[in-house]
Amino acid sequence: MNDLDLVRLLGAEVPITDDLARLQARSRLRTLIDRETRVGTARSTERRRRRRASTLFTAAAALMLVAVFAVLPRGADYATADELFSDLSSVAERGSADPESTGEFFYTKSERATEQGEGAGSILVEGVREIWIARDGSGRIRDQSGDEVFQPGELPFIDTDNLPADADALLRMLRGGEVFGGAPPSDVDLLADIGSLLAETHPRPELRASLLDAAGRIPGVELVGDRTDAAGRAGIAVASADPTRRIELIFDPESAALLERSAVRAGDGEGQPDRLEYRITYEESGVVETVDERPVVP
Amino acid sequence: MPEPAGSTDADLIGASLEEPRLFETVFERHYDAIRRYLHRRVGRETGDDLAAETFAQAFTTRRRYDVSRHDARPWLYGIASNLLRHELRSERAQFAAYARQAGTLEAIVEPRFEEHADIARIVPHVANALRGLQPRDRDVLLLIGWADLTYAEVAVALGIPEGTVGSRFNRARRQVREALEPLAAIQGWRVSWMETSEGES
Repeated sequence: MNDLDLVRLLGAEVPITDDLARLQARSRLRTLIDRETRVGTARSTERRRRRRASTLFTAAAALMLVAVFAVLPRGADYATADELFSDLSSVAERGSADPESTGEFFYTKSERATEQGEGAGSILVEGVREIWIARDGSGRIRDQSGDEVFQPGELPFIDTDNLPADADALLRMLRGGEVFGGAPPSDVDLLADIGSLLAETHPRPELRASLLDAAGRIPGVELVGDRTDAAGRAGIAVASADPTRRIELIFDPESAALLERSAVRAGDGEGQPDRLEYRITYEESGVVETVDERPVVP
Repeated sequence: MPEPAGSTDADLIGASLEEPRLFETVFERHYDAIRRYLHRRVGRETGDDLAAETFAQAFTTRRRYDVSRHDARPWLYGIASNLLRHELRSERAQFAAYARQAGTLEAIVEPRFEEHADIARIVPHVANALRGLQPRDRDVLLLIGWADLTYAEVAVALGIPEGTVGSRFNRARRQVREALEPLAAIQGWRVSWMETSEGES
């Protein structure tokens, strides 16, 4: 007998006698299975219904499509990511400053799926996150793991008022790691950083336009095309990838708002598939007076 | 649901993307072992919750499963290990409970190891030794000692190189031995590896 044998003895006598927990675990799994099966069936039914409708109303649909696409920008309207960013920048520049921007707290609500842990068994934690953050680093975070209020200096506030509205200067600062601190980011991470600034801070319109211009100048950013985010909203996506990782941003072309930011770690090409690292779907943002308020949705 | 004959876990997980109910067979194959492991780590109540959560997570993230790996155990134990990281307090409580239960072990230990009657008195102290390990070292030691995973399987489960598995495993064992040997000297325990050598590495 050695030390490992002793370890093996610990707890080995504990019998599993009740089946209730097993039934409950199986029941929970079946609920997930049933939900997925229902969604799959609903999608099939919807596809069949759409095919029938499509056959009957082809001409009408074609006319509608022409009308809609004449008004709304689509991925196919752009040849490169740079063209898209140029249009988004123009839209952002025309945006007005938030009339409530005198409030103290910047509020963002997002739905998140985040990989936690390492190895084959890394898990995906999903939930809604609300954050209120003030210039002094105080605020509140409310998500699936709790609801916590922070004192001044405890949250990392990024003061976008100090960032230049010149795209080249902005890009230099971001590349130098001067905005987020830490090591200079790769081009792929640079796109994610710009996404974060666009959606998780409250940049003035000219800075928002400049951030979009800067994104268009990052080498390797490609136009993906039309995409729907996890909340079901249609948008246009761009992406940047290296051999290990891919960052994708989905924008609403009408408002230039960032709808979703996600990162996928590349598989090994030998069976290990690509893995979602995180997906952040931005739902709401604004400026409020206290950590108990939410922006008024118009 | 009848188990598809000859199907590997990877076959079932891959096919469950089209036919979700097939995943129930993966549950039936592995639930008891995962649950038993989690019971030993964090106790019955939390272990039951984590076992259910392990299979819920496995089902919802199964698109990420590497179908070149036929056996799903490393994946499932990896999920369980990641969930355990949020339950360090429950784990400490469970090891404290082991440390208090010397008497209950004697009945099962002595008939199996008659020549080492002291073992039942030592095992609870093993709990204290395990409690003192770094969580990442404890994960490796218990995935091998309790879940019977190989070095290669632990490497997959935890996403670390096999060499790191080996070094963490050896460090954990050394720390367990170092925690027990002074006690053995004081209490006069008789266990072969203590008497004959400095133990295996």
